[in-house]
Amino acid sequence: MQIKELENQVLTTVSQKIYPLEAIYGAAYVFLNRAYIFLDENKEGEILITLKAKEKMDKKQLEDFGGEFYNELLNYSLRIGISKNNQKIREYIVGRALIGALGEDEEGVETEEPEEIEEEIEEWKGDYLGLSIPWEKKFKKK
Amino acid sequence: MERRLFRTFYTLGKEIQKKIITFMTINFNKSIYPLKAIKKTVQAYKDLAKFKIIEKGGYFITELIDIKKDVESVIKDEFCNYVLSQVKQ
Repeated sequence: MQIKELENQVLTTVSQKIYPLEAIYGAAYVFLNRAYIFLDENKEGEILITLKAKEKMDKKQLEDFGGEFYNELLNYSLRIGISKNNQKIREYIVGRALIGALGEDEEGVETEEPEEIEEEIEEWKGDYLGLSIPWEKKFKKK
Repeated sequence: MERRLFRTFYTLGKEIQKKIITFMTINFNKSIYPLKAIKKTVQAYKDLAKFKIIEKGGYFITELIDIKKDVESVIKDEFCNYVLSQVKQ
């Protein structure tokens, strides 16, 4: 990590083998409100990162600033790694949720039509034999 | 005569200085910055300067001409940040 105090800049080089480009984009995006960031690539395929702090900083502050960027880089790399590892299970969960939202028909469970339900309610209302009345109520001693 | 000559050179110098200041280039590496992100940024910054994108080697060279005076000092950095934000989106 190279500190340029006069220019208020931190220059660093990171290998794409360790930190994927996605992680570099992510970390850079977090720092956009605090620094002007410029990325380039050298002949070895490493990414050159220039962080130009928006606020004036001394050498120590710039070092800390660069360190924070590295932490964020690590954070994003880990996040991407976890996301890749869990991709299949996430897809499975989303798939199940979508099937569930479509209804149970696809699972082979029969669902009743609204008309059938209404007929059933009507039948229940016309309880001529008094089957829905509890035994205690029906044979209560007066 | 001398005074006249001085004035001519002075005006010429000022003009050259103005041209130098209002002209800038930013080199965006092709493997890092997609052209779409640069174009979107150009669209957002079109009122602040005139832009020209040239593809050369592994870079998209963005030329900034006739930059508005009040944004001259920050436009390059802000432009780069905006492009990066577009890349992420």
